[in-house]
Amino acid sequence: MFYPRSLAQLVTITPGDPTAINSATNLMNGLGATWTLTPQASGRVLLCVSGNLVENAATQTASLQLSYGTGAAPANAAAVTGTQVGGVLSWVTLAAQLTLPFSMSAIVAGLTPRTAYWFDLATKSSAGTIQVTNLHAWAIEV
Amino acid sequence: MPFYPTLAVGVVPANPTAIASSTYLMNGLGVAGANALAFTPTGSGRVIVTVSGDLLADATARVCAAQLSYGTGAAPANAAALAGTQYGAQLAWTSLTGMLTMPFTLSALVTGLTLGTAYWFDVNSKASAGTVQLTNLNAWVLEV
Repeated sequence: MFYPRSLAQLVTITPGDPTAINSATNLMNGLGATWTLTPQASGRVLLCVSGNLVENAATQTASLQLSYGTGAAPANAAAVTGTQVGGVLSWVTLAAQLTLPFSMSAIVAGLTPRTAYWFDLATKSSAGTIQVTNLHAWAIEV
Repeated sequence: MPFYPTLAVGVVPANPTAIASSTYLMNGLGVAGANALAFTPTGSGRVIVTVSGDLLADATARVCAAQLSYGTGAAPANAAALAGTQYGAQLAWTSLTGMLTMPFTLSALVTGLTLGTAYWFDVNSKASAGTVQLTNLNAWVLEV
């Protein structure tokens, strides 16, 4: 038995660069306004985001993690919210290397069909700012 | 219960010749052969494309960038001019002395492909000076 492919929901976004996050604790980036999906059948979603991490100075520890939730999507610089999922990527900047390519993906299971979910990145920097740029993100029900 | 079974292709291409260009050129991953990154959708016309590997710069202070491309017809060869549709994130990285290699993953969900039509997939890359080479590649396409 299989669900018909036509039921599988998907979303792809190529958003503008979110405003840089200036916080040593995780804050949201505000991607959930458009990175959103309402599962219809399996409640399992494969999501992925790729782009660049840009720090404003050397010797800063940047980190990021995928997040998801329901209800109103958090805005840029909102307090961390929803559920954090997958690994925490972290990176220490060097004077001549303030940009790092990244890609994160996760499968989230157990979502409630016919309920809208937002997806986002929670980011922080030990000092200064961290910005995620040149983003491409997608999610598909599998 | 899963969705309807999917079709996929996975390849481990040989390292393409390094690209020596400050504007995007193709790497030739879609060129016909045993390890061609090519796929013909037959079900939904939407595919997840993922290419992982290393970016290898020839010297320090090279600003290297890479992005996915796809198209139909004859696949572009290594060092060919930019072709097809560029899609997804443009990854960027600056090489440093002692750090000339950077692991990367490019992944995108492409929709609206024509059923029964063969598509090639590739990575376009560039370096601000010198060369950038894609190495240790693993790539796959999955129709979903």
